[in-house]
Amino acid sequence: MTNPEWITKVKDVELFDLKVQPARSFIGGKWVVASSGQVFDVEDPGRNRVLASVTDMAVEETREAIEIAHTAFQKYRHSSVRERAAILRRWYELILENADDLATMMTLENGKSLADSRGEVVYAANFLDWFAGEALRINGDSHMASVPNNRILTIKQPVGVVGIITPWNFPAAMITRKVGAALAAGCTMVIRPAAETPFSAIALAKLAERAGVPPGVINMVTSNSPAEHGLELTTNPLIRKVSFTGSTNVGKILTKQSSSTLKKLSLELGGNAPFIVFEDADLEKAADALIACKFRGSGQTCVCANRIFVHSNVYTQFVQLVYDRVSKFQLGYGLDEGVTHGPLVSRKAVHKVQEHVDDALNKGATALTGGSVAYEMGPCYFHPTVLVDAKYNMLIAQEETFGPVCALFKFSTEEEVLKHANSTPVGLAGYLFSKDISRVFRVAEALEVGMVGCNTGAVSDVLSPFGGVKESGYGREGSQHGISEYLDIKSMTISID
Amino acid sequence: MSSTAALFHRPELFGLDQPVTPSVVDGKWFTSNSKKSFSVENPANTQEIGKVTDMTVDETKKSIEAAANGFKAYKNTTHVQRSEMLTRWATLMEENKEDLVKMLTLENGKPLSHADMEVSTSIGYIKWYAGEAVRVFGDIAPSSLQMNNFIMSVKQPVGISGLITPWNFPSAMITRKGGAALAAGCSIVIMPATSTPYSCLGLVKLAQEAGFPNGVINVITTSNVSEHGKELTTNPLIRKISFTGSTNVGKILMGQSASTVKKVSMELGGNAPFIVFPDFPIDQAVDSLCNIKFFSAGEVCVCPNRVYLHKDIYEEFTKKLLEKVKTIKVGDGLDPSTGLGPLISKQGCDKMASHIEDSVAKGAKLLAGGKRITDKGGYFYEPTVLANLNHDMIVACEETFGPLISLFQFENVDQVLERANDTEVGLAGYVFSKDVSTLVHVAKELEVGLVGANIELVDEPFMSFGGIKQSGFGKEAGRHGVEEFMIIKEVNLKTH
Repeated sequence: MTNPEWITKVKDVELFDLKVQPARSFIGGKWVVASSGQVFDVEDPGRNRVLASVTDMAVEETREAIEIAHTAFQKYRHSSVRERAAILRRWYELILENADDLATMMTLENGKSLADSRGEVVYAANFLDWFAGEALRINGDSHMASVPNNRILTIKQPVGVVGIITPWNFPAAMITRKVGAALAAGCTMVIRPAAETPFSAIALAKLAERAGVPPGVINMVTSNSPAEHGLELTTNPLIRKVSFTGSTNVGKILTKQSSSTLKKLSLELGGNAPFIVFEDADLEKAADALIACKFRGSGQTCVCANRIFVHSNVYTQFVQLVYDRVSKFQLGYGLDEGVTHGPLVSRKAVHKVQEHVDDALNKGATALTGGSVAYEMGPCYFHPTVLVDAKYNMLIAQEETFGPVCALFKFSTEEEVLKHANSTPVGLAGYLFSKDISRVFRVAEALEVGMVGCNTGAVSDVLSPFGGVKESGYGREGSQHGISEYLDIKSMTISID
Repeated sequence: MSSTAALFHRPELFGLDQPVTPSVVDGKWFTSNSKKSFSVENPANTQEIGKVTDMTVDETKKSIEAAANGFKAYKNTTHVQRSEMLTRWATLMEENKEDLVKMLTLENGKPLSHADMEVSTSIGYIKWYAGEAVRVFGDIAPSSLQMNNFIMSVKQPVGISGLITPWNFPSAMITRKGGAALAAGCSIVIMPATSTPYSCLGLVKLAQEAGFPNGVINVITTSNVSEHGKELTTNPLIRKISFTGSTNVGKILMGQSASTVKKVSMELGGNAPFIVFPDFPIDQAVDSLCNIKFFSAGEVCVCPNRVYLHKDIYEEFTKKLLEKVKTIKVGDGLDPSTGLGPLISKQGCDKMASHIEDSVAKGAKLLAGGKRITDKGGYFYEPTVLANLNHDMIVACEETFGPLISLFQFENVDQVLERANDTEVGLAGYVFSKDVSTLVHVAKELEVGLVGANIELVDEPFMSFGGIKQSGFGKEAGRHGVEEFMIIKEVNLKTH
């Protein structure tokens, strides 16, 4: 493929290792292709075409990467925290310098609008800046002891080699949020990015290299066989910790696999976010927030509102406000000017969304707008959809749709809506809209989720702890807690007798 | 009244006023519909202490439901209320200490002095957690998003927690886990080891007297911990599992917990190195070693499993050690002059024998002990010292869990660190040196969660207890203990 049209939109082709195809993996400080010569294609869901090919590494090559990371760890664990902070800070700056290219490529491989991609690139960069500061704050403690000549000290040390498995929906931020913490802690790592969106990972590795990350500290292995490589990361005894963001089902599998070597785990899994609009909510603001929260990334985020509960007294009014806003969406190719929402990541994703919509319509919901694939644009485009009269027996009430479908349920009492909001095995994000302070605290505390937005549709800030409860997983990313996930606490009792 | 019951001020504390000791679910003491019971043996003489009710899996399911019900109210208690209940519990434990200590010795075998230390530590944990309960802080992050924002983090109890505890510390493991869970606002279902249920039952009775509401603390007594353990790890109502026990069982429980994405804490086996450098007073090092090695008959996860002596002091240390070992009196734990009680079971003795046999066959020298003691009627083993060990022997990689001192030699600090760290587990490690650089270097480089530096103590309520590598994850006691039973909830509050 010589000079494909899309490549002219990117300034620095080398950033994505695309001077020559296939793009390569990054192991031990070198850019390498699979010894098998196998490659896999990366698609542009917006134009239904292949973007480029990437090397398809074998499991043996992941194993080698783990061994290289293990060797590098013996040195990196003793690196000065200032060095780590400096590398993270340089990497942060390089991401911002290359933000245009990163955003463009992200839209190309993921489909999200350029505005969404630009937002994510900044969000991703911010994690590195945050952890540059956190690297300097790995404080231990000193404690009183019950015996006068004893001193108790606790120190924190890096856990070791980390396996990092990331999804396609935030192809940059999911990497930096984990890698930034791991690097700051003094760990080395092997990253397995999603096969749908490897170029964001490749670019991040390139920039890490340019930022001066020592060879072998960050290793990034591209492949098209997630199950095999996942199994290697979860069972290889040299890996002490696995951090995963993805579906709940895969999370359970990885956990079981990790038990044979008792690895430390962080899991950030699926959600089924309730978005509750009370009678006294500021409806305009709630509608604005819903649009952002529900349709960001075309609904393909784990914290997307999945079930919208609206008090019966304001239901009709609120539905109108939502409909008006959705009508103004510009569905289209992510790179095109004025487009607000792009395609979904794949045909498989579209299929699931259609399944949810059809099921809802069969069970009595009505689609005020949308409800079908926009074939005229391409097989991955789904019309933004507003469903009213949603009911609890619909798939959309029980499963994450992961698409641009807004299902609105009616409720009458706080007790009722909390019961329904909490009757799900997962618990990642939840949102509530009310002006009453007592209600705000009551409902926020009662929602069985890890993150609550009160009068806002945003729960992701680098500073705030990100993570779920129940079957949405455990561990917290970002915030002052994020780095702890990659540290072991050692308690020392010293006698100065 | 049975002769066992007659030993106690309050035999009803352990259900010894009844033919079969009942368990407790939802605040009610009951015997199982199975009508079955299992016998609890005194390892010092193999005599029966009593019979305990053998619950069915169905009853375990109901206990989990009772805990779920109890949680609804308990999670809404204030931290002050929980702190006060914990304080009352500690007071009741103090008042009933003699009975608790005696029962511990009866069912586990450890000498009264060791049982006394354990119950004191147990009380210490509850007092600690009474203080921790009121120190669960969330925070407010500076907001980078917008002006009218509070980004709050609050901590909330994780929910119903399953606690699976071992026989080697039948009191302290209950309080070290239970106290943290209760401080956090969780309700609990405890499954004590089949061989040592009485300490747990006594503690829970006192907790009930302390005012913990029905359903908040429930106990599963069973002869089949594997079956009931599976219920705990797979029942979706349970959100957290905390286990102390063997590494192998830990792996199984973690795998079982995956299907409902439970939070898990594991405190598993160790292979503790005990390293003595030549600049440390030998007598003091010998005393420290004997204190920790024979404490609770060496059946302790932080027990030194491999003793590394610098070659320059090897001879003298060994000589002084043997003199000290000669003075250790083996006997029934209830005899106040006993320094070393029985092991918990025949299997414990078998493991000692096989470790000794394997080492000797591969060239180790038996310097003291080496044999089972068969004339006392229980599971007694001689305090044993083996010398000239190397890393081909089983003792180098497996916990002996008995009164066996295995002596290795080393030449320099790099060598001993490499050998000490050449193991899959990492719970405790000990280093003795007067030189500050050596001491700090070794303490930092040992791949363990707990270091004793110039001291054999690694366990106080104020410090975080737990291992790394395949010794598990999660911390108990210290400032992190209560957190294990909590979740962090971010509340992003926008005004205007």
